[in-house]
Formats: sequence, structure tokens, C-alpha cells
Amino acid sequence: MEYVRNPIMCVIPPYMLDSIVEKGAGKARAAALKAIKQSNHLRIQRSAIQERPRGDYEVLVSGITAHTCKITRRVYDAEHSEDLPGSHARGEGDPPVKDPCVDEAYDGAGDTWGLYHDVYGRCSIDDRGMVIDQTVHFGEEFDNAFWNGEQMVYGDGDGELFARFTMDLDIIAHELTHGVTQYEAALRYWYQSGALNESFSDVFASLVKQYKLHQDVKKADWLIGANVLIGEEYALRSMKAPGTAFQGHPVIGDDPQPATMDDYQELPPWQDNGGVHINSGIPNQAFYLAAMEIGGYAWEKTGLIWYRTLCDKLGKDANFVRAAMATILVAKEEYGSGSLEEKAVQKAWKDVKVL
Amino acid sequence: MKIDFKQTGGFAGLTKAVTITNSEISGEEEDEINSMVNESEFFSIPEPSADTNPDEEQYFISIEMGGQTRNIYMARSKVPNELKPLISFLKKRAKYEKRSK
Repeated sequence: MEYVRNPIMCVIPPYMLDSIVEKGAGKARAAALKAIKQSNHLRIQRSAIQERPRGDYEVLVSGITAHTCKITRRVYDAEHSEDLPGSHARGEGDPPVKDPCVDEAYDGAGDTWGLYHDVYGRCSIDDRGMVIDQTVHFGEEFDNAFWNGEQMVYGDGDGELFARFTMDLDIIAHELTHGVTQYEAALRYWYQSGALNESFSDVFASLVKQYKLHQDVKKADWLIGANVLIGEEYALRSMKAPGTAFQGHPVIGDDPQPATMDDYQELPPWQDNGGVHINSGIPNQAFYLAAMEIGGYAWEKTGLIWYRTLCDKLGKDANFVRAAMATILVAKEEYGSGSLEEKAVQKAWKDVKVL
Repeated sequence: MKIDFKQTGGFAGLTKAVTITNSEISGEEEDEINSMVNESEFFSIPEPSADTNPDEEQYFISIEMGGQTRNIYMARSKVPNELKPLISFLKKRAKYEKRSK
């Protein structure tokens, strides 16, 4: 599969486009004007292409900057060991192999790559065409999926509490987004910066699912892990109503996620790195509230605000207040001071009592 | 002898835990645990790294034995080889904690 994106829109920051329009001529000026028009909702302040291209990545065409971004996926099978990456199971362009874990990982990575590429102009995990590596059938009855700094890894689940972790597209998107975060804000994985890291993964996980299903904010279920936790009435997290994804579960009881700072949980570092999977409910709720207020397809405006915040506005130790201020600033930059979007983002963070 | 073990983190953010005291186990099991703790040199091994990759599990172990007490925690990928048999034993006994509001 090959995707070609508008080269100018993807790699030249807006101020440079403005300058080309002002001072340039001919094809360069026309291309820049077109890019500005197209990027009205997708203005991505990505820095110029970095020094070491990886994967299928070409630069410098016709005096401006261009590249072709191709997806490259490799799925491996750990065959129930914990050795990575395992044996090769499916490569880019290969037909389905009839192993649902392999095929779901392959397709899910494609859907996730697609949202990042088509909507935000991103070229894979590192924005430089990184090969997407994934391993399935990791460990024995392994109840988890994770990003190990280089690739995604999925267990098969124990078959009683959890099904296979490739079953939910949002889990695949969540893990891939940890890779994106690693190459962008690099949020430290503990306390509030860790909870933000988790939340960005949930946000883009939900957006990948909504984009795939073409759902607007009202149609989306805003659930994470609706299939992997066995039982039709259960999911792992709800962005719409944190703390309600599972209730009265016979094994794990009630969803502990807070929706506002009133219920923020102060936990020690040895407990889920200070509660990164617990307190992520608060920024998740803020995204949901902002998206509902802005309306439409959440990946368009609200998603862009969060994407630009992740890429351009946050440092590794950012906390909830910093994230709130940054998203408000991006909303203002993108849609104007006093815009509905700016007000919606501000109100969302106030409603969850971060501001 | 008392051992507290917790597994936290992971994509689901759930906790699995077990507490073992010598009053609850057979003499044979106690010998097995003593052997694993001694062979791991639990009370003297360097502090393992607690830096977890995103969604990776984290282990916390507290052991009181022979007048010594030590608490350590580590990422799943950073478990020292000496500790792997003990962690594996504890993971098999650990159960998901049921949370209630």
C-alpha cells in the first residue's frame, strides 16, 4: 500500500508557507497557497525533515520539500515465548494468514497509520517512515499488551478474564500511540506526565476507531477495550464516563478511574507508576467534553488540537495544568481567540477541575 | 516469614496480589520459598530498575524473613535472573484484586 500526501502541507511549518506565499513565485507560491488552504484544519507545525531518513522516505523535490510515505508492517509470532521479536508471520502486502492475532495486528496497525497519515500528515510512528513491528502470541496466557520502546507486543489473554489483546482496534492504536509520544513529547511514564501519556494513547485509540467507523462524536462509544475484557457489558475504560467501564464485575469489581480532580488518586510510585492508568480518566474526560462541545468528527478539530499539543507544546514532565494550558493555546492558534473551539477546550478542563 | 507481592500496571491497569505467611503454608512450601529467596540473594541484590515501558507490568515485593525486611519494585523487563523463579512462583499464586467504590 502506498500513500502520497501533499508534500508541502506535511513538512513545512505555517510561517514558512506564509513566507513562500509572500515572497515566492510561480509553482512554489501556488503550491504553498494550496497547502495553506488544505491545511486550514490540519496545520501541523512539524519541523523540517530530520537528518536520517528511515524506511521509504524521500525528500527534496522541485525545490521545496516532498516525500512519499509508505507504510511497512512486520508481524511476528512469539509462539508463547517471551523472546522478541519472534518468527516472521506476515509482512507488508502479504495476504492474510488465517491467524486472527496476526491479521488483526496487521490491519489495526494499518488503520492507525492511516489516521496519523491521512488526517495529521504523519509518516508512521517516528514521522520518518519507521517500520511498524508487532509481536503476537507473547507469553503464556499473557493478559497484556505493551510498547517496549521499539515495537508493540500482544498477549493472547487467559481466556477467562481477557480475550486476545489484538481483538480491539483501539488497543493496537493505543500501543502505537505510545510510540508516537516517545518521539514527540516523550512524557515520562509516572504520575501526571505518565497519566497524560496514557491519556494521549486512549484519545488517539478512540479516534482511530471513530475514523475507521466514520462515527461523529455522538455516535462514538468512547470505550477502550470493549472486547478484550470478556463479557458484553464490560470495557476497560470509558472516556465518556470514567469509572463506569466495568461495574460489579465478579473478578475485578468496579472501574476505579476518576473523571475529575476531586477524585484524583495519590498513589505510590510502585503502584502503576503512581496511577498512570487510573488518573488518565481525568484528561480522557477533558478530551471527551471538548469534543462533544466542538461537535462533528472528533479527529478533525479536537483531535488536531490534541495532536499539535503532543507534538509541539509539551515537555517530558508536563502535568495536567500544563496540558490544559497547551491545548487551550493550540485551540486559540488554530481557530482564533474567543473561538468556540478555544472556549470548549477551556470549559472542558474547568469541568474536570484541572483549571 | 511474610511475603507481599503485587503486580500493577499493564494496559488494563489492574492489580494482582498475594500475601504468603508461614502460618498458611506447608513446611515443604516454606522450604521451597526459603530456598528461592536465599538463592536470589533477595536481601543483598542491587535495586532493580523500576523504569517501565508503557503498559508494561510492575512488580512490588516485600519480604520479612530471618529478622530482615526489604521492599523492592521493578519493571517486568528488568527482573534480575536471580529473582525470576521467585517472581514466577508468586505470579502463579497472585489473584486479581477486586475493587469496590
